[in-house]
Amino acid sequence: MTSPRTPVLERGVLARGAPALARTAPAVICALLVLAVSGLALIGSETTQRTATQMLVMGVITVGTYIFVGNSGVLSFGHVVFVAVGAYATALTTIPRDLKQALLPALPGWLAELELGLPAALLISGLLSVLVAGAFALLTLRLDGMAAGIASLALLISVNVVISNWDAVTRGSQGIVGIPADLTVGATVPWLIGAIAVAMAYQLSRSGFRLRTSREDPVAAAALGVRIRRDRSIALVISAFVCGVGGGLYARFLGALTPGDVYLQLTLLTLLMLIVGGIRSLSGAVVGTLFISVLAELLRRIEAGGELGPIELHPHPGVQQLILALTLLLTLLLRPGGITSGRELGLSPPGWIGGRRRAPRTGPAVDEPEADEPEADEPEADEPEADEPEADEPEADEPEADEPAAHSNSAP
Amino acid sequence: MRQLLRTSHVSVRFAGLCALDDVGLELGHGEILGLIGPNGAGKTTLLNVLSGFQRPTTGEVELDGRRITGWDAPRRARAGISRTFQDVRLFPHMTVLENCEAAVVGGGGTWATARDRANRALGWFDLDGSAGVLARDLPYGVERRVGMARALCARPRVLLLDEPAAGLNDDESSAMARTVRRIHEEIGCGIIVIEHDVRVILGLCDRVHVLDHGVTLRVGSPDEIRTDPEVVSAYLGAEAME
Repeated sequence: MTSPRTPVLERGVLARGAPALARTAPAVICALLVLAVSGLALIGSETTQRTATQMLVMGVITVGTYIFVGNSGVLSFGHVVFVAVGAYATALTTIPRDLKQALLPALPGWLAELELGLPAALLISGLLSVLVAGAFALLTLRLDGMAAGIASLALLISVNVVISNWDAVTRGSQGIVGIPADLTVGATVPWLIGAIAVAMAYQLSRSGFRLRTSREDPVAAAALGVRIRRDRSIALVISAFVCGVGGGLYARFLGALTPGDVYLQLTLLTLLMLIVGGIRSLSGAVVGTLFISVLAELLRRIEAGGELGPIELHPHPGVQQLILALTLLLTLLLRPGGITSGRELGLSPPGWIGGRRRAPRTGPAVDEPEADEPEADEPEADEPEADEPEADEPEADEPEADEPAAHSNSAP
Repeated sequence: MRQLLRTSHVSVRFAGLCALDDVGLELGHGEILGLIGPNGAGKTTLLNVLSGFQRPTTGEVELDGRRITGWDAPRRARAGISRTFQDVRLFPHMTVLENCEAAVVGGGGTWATARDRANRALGWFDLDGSAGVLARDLPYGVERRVGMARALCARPRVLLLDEPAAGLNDDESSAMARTVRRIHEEIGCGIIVIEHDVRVILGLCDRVHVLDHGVTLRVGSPDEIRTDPEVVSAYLGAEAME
């Protein structure tokens, strides 16, 4: 292939344009979107802010789930396991010492004494989730498609049974109370942006690229040398770390944690956000989270009745669940790729709104050059990267701990 | 000629059906070997055995004298065995350029190498203008060229082509044959090509291996094969008699 008649073609390279900027543009735009929505929420009431905080926490969880599900194409009902591990880890390491000893007298001494700051607790949450992911990988990574989904569901159920009955550590179905519920919008935003950065870094890595080829066609990927299980494991570990951090934040958001908080409903909500937003792109995970969160909040208000602007509403119990379910159904029927349909938010809007549909050409060999190519769907890195961009985890951010927002949980 | 790739006594049985029976195939360095036979003769099964997608029931596969029978497909790809598929199997939501880069990155190569080789391969196959097009939007003939470009980006030592001209018209078929010839001249890899169009095979290959019902019927030069009565009656039939 070193023929002199084949000049190295520059067009493909140029299409990627100012590489660093174009490649990370989706992450930057997602982060700006998150900042904009959070900023708007800060103007709102305390209830609105609480909803926004929940949205941001859900964002960390969906982005974490996306890292594995989106890149591998393997549906997982089990990612809430990592959220659960992270939630309990943060709960147990951040409850005030005295309260903890009263609540959980059977805890081992070292754990009973432990009282960590939020960043340290979240780090431990993430690492514990990674350990669980290791076991998870050994058990399920051989499976594909439906079998993988069902196996992950089995794991979720198993872990829930353990949590529900491990009274000495989790207080079983009574749940843990007294977790400092001090999470604010401002304190949560950095974690979500960190999660987006990690997801973007993985997506740009060679491992992420290989994993997406196996998502597209596992047989062709194997024929090109892709060792699918290896790359799936890498994605799962990173994904579990982010979900574990998300779980820790979730515990701090709720203030009280029962096994049911990190079970089926949360799993379904995560998948709802991913599917409606578009499960094949990072932008989809972020857009889906924002969209469903805002929709759920509006529906909650309608459900509760009262006045919405000039309109007087009667209470409509059940409306929220019903409409959310319909949203999922309509998405699957009308736009199975979700809002973003596998595209990333890029610098050129038509690139993702209008789609990249091109009339198939039937002419002879040479297609016309397409200089106006919007940036690649999943832009690539220039330099070889470390396979594990895990190093750049969300930067630790001191909790701004002076806003004990202990409202009732407004979970959709 | 030193043997690059060979199988010895390879048999594949699926639940009573014998897809391959005691097949010994040899590919020399820099050789183009045609693999022909009627439908169901076991050609694709043999290609799957060579590329690691089908474990033989008995027999061995060797690459450069090294036993690779137990190696899975990714490991063989990394050792330099590259293949195409009858149904091409591009990555539909990736661009043509990314499809080609995948052949390098998939095997552990760097982005820089990937970009460089992909761009060369695209230029080579007249695909420059399609670099940014998603694979699923490609017309059929172009799709097949991308499939070959992708296989080439891996810089194979052995290239296995499963009916590269299937579904192409006469002009496109002969263009494909010329391309295979050119690949061979440029990178000097050994090539095994399955093809139904006998004229293409006979004009392209150094040797031809004929399979029938999972058994090797004949191995020989194109001229020998063309005139062999048994091959003619089993496979070439009326078409070659003309």
